[in-house]
Amino acid sequence: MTASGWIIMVGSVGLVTAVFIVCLYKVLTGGNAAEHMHGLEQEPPDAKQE
Amino acid sequence: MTAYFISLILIGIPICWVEWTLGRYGGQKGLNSSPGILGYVAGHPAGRYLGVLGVIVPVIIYMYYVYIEAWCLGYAVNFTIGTFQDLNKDGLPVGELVPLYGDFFDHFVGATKDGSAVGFSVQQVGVFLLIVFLLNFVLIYRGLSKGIEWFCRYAMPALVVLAVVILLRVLTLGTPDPAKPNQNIINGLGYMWNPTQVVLQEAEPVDDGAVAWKDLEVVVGAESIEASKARVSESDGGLRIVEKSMFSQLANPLLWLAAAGQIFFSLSVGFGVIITYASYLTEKDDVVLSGLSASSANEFCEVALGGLISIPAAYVFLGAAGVAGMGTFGLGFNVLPLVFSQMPAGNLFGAIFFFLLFLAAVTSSLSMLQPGIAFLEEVLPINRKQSVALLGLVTSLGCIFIVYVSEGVKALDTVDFWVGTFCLFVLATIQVILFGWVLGVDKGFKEMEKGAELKLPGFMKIMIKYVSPAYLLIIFGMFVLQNVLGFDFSTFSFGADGPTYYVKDLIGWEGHPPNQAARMSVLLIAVVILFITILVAGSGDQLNRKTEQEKNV
Repeated sequence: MTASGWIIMVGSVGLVTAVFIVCLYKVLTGGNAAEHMHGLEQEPPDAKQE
Repeated sequence: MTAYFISLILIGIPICWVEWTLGRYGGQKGLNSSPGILGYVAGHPAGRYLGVLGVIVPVIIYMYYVYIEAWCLGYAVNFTIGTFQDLNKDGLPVGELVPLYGDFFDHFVGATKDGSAVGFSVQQVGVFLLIVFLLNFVLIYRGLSKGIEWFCRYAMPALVVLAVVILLRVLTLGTPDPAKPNQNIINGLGYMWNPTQVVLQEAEPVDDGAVAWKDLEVVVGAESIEASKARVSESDGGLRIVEKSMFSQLANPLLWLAAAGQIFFSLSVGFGVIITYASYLTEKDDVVLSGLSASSANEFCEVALGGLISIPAAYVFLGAAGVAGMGTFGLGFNVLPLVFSQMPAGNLFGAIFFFLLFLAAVTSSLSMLQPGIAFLEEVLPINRKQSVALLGLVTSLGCIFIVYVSEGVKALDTVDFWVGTFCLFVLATIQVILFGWVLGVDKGFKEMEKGAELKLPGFMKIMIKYVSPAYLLIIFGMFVLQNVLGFDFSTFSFGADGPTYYVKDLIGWEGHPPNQAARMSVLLIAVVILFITILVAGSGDQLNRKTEQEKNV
């Protein structure tokens, strides 16, 4: 592993980890932010109707 | 990895926000399917036909995704009943385990012969596929997906913790096979992250006495380079070593297409899934933080966990040539059992890991069904349960084909390239152009920022309007030139290598006869496109009425 390889690896892993932590922080400390966040897990309205 | 990160920043996250926004925008007009939403955004019926891709992509990917889901369940069961332990009961050195585990995988998925996966032995995927397919449809038909999502609230963090444990084991593997000292973890990391590659190439004679140089393998580590130099000096001109700088590697359009495809697939962008789920949101919901959080969690798992586990471990166990010769899907299933064989209580870890992976896959496959269900409900006078039944019939026929034509996993590989990479790319391009140029970037941003916790910087408008579409169109143009028409960018001429093998499989090429499995796979895609297009063509009035009803409310 070359020095530039180490730099790219640490930079890349550090970047994605930092952005993930910032998002977690925003969600957990953003008042009612979590209530207005959604993924692909929500139950669609057509399923609720049945 | 450089192409991957550039793609993530320039297209992945921006287009993720675009798709969330377009979905919510269309949903407020009562539309939930990609053809309905894109038709409305385009303001022209032609938009609906562009939106067809947003239905066929998740439906066709579902056909092979359940096959891979069945691999996860099958591996979890085989770890539980001790199949892998039996393969390694004599405490074989890792070098002898590699072909044993490879043979198990090939037999399990039916890669040895068409039809060989279809069986009801625990060491064949058939029985697991049946369980997985029925489970998916029972969950969605009976509206039980909420239960599994609740369970996954706890199961997915557990999967991340387990991945960290596996990562620690991989990073402490050292040199598991003393007979191959070059295959150590530091070289494995170098194989993945070094920006400049040292490549061993072999000479191949072409017309007019000229020679073409073909890559044999990437060489990592001082000892490997010395050994390769010795091979070169003994080869009498038949071999050579070259250094490929990061920039020369980045000149290959297929690399960019693959990077974009990987980003889109893992973020579910250009997939048709986000646009449907976002259509159920209200103006109070935060699409910016939702999109960014989902993307960042995914990237953390993919880069910081999955990427550091699978490829370095594959290099350690299989070597550079072994990694290069292994398809994307086979990598984890071949390599992770080897990692578990080097861990205390490896069978237990293997069983838990593959079961949690299976649960994660179930949540993904359930989400892939929703765009098809929403579409059928929108264009046909049928309810959700009838839509599920019709979709079940269509996907089961496709799935049977992909699982039966399993030799060399050719059908899966072909469908994955043309739908899971190519169509994703095309749909993402359509969406970003519609957002930036038809809806208008200012109006689009107003829509995006409704309910948003984060304020997006102004340069994102330039990114979405100019940079992302230009980036996608340039890569697409280069891909067609190089990989479809056979243009060689290094010599600026139409080279002897011809197009990529995905194209050669379809049209045939000198020394590469057409592949019937690949042709039938593309025919399957064409039939599904035709089916969905006919439904869209016959539903125009219904989609119009639905939009008008919403406007009048």
